Amino acid sequence: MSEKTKNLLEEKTIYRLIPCQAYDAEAMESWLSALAAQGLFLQKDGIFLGVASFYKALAMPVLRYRLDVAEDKKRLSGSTTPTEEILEMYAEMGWEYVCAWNHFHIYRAGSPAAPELNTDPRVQAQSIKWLQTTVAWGMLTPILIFCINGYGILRAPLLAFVELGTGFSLVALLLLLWLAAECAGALHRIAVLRRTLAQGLPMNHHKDWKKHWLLYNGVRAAMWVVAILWFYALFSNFAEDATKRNQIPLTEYTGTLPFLTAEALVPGAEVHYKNMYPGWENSVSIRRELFAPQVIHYEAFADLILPGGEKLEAVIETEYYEMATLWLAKWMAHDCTATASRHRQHDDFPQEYDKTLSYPIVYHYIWPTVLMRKGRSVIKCQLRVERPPQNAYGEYEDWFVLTNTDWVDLVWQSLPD
Amino acid sequence: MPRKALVELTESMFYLLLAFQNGPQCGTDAAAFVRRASRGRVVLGPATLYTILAKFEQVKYLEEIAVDGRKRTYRITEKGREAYRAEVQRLTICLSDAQALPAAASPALLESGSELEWECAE
Repeated sequence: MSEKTKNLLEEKTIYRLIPCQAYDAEAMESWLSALAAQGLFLQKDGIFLGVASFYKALAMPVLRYRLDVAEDKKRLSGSTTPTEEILEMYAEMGWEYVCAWNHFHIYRAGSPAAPELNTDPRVQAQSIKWLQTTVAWGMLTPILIFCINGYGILRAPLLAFVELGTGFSLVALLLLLWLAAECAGALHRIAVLRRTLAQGLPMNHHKDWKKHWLLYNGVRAAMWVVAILWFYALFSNFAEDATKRNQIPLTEYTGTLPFLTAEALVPGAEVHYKNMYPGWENSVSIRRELFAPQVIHYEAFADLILPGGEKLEAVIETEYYEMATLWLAKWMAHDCTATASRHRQHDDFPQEYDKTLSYPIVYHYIWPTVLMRKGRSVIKCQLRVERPPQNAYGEYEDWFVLTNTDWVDLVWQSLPD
Repeated sequence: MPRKALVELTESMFYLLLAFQNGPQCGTDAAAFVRRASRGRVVLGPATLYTILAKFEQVKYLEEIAVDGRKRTYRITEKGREAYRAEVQRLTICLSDAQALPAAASPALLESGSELEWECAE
């Protein structure tokens, strides 16, 4: 039915959710043909994000919709849009192109005299083979990109889970599982279709599309909600980072922190916080996550005036995780170590600090960094204490006033038992 | 893009090669010929026709010799003729094998499923 000759009953567009799973070509053909019998005809380019738009015209019970694999068989156009040559040849045989859906082109024929679009299932199976390869690569590519870019997440999943936030991570995990299930389902459907066609059996143009539509649309609606939640969590994370909403300036914080702080570094010393660079905050942020009742980020840059009048400059940047169980704490320590292991210059300390794992370790990432676990507490602490410039060139003498062993002792003693 | 010869021709493929034995023609003319030659038994739908034409071009059974607007004219190649002859020979052997079967004259025997012995056609 061409756009010029259609007998419009209503000008308004009617929308319907597509009730078929991705790549279920048989169900899609059956559904579109059934709607045509009710007088609903798919509009040109009328499919977007799982919603199809229709116009209402005189019902045509014999109108057939058929799907053809969107393979550029002759590699003429370099795209998956049907070429003018195809459009003309198909039209000559009674088939009108409507729109694309999931690597398929949708055609329709109003004349019973028009031959079927595909008359040889074994030939059609060859096109489905192309589809199978294309879809498999299309699904594999994001997985590969994720594996390369998300290497840090795969290497230290619990650390990533806690750092990204429980809500965000759970929703992301749910979405990933759903996508994986969708991909596996789509590939399975294509494989089954290819096997059927390769046996010489034609596609079932009258498949019962109603069978699973409620379940399918229910799951899809739920996933849209989850996807919206994910975006909300993503933007909340960004907003939190941008506004530093959770950060409390150290000068205002009155609580006790369960690890080494600038105030506790040298007993009796005066602490004068200062800015390392514009935008630097001497602050602490405390939050609670599902697996970690306490996650604390702490950063301090200060002059320490010792009782004797000597002045030292100190920097402490700490990430502290109090995990829900000992097992989770060991896992977290493992993840932190995995992340730290890329810094080559590190020293393992004797196991006297932790009988089960070779913590703490100290490595040099800009400054010495102590990483250790004590019970359910895991801490990563970047530390520096030095004397201000002593000579005319502004060079630092006694670059590190404390040794790595000093740091380890100080941090270890500050942690709760 | 695969260039290897097709292992097996389907009926549609065979009839399309048969059509091009008559000389160069466009795809739709070849499809019309197939319908006539098979007395309407073999019909080539547009998707099937286009897929086979593309495949035959890939494996060099057909070559495009003229383009008039969007109408393309194809000619069978020597490789295509060889494939056609090989298929005819295979089908001839199949036919003579079938004719050598004593039960061929009596379909009822075949339907009964009884084991039969026959001489293979040479």
